Amino acid sequence: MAVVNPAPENAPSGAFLELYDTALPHVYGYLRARSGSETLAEPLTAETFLAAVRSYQQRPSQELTTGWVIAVARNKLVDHWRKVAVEERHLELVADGIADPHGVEDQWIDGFGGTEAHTVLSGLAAQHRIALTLRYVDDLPVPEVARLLDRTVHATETLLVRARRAFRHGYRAQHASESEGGDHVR
Amino acid sequence: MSAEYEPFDILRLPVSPVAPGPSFAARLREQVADALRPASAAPDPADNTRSSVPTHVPEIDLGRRTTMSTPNPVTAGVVDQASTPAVRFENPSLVVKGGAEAVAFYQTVFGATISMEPFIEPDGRIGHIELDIGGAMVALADEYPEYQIVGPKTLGGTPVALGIRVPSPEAVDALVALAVANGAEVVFEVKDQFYGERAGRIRDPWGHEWMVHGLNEELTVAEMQERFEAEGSTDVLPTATG
Repeated sequence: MAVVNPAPENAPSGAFLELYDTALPHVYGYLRARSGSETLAEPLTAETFLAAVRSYQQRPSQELTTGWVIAVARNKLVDHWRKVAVEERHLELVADGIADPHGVEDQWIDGFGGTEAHTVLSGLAAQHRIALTLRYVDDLPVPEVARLLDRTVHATETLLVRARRAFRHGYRAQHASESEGGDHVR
Repeated sequence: MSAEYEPFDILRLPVSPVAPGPSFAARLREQVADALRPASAAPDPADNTRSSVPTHVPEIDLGRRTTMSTPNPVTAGVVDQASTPAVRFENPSLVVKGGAEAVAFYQTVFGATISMEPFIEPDGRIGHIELDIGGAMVALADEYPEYQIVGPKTLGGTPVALGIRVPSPEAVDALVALAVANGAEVVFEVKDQFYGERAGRIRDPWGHEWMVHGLNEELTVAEMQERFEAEGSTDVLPTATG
């Protein structure tokens, strides 16, 4: 009996490369904006696509969409920041329990542009940065953030409270340095 | 409770497409195409025709592909090529005479962090430690001459340079200055290189050599070739203009 091998993987490969061409700027743009660094965005983009290839080879039924590759990229970003967070813990750099002297949650917001907010965000400890990025930059619901971070919803909410506190602290620190210690009260 | 969340909405960012550098995009496309190719199959010629790889990427018959289609006389019949496991480069292992001081140097100069605590021999030598230097793992050990494990100082040199990338050309000068301040020697002075990078090579106090790179501009291979030739001829002839 003549055995015909399944067709070589030309067609699926072609489909994936088409996805690569379409999705590349989206994935790179996603990672660059969130990692805040070109030098980091490139290796993370490469890791993302190579992981997507492996996943596609294991599950050829995977629908090839840009959204799917972005989800893979998000996982890679989480992995990266987790690694950084472990290092930071190792160096005892995570300043936890920063006091909120004003006790007013939303005081920092007036006249506060997105770009400046992202600058503050990029200066936070990785733990806090990742939580705020997933929850607010990517606008994911808390249970989804919890799933990505491998935490319970409750632990994620606690982390978000701390992260927001660290963010406000970072924001005030930035403004204090900009106004040279003057009485800059909004 | 929800009011507490609202101010942070300002952080929201849509996924805005940004095109990466063309040479990075082309390189990664090649890697993706390679990863998609079944290990036992010959390169798919159809891929070249439908490919949108920029024309400046030279078509070089890479050795690895050649060995895939041409049986290696040494391993043929010994190893089933199709079942050879995929390999991934893991890390360099540096041997240094004076491990603890070397770790301190790499921490100060390259911002290394300790990713695996050292295994220390009873005689005080570091048997193994893992460092993270800018996201890559570098293992390090003291010299063990009794096992022919010796560093470049003992050997009288090294043929290997380890590559370090910094985010800007200015950072190359800063890093090299920091290394020199901590006892490194300059092997090649920092300068703007024909391949679009500012780069220089240093030798650390234990004899390992590091090439420090910062990107000036993304160049195609053809442009690099052009500049290389132009640079090579400047000593003899003025470069053509127009």
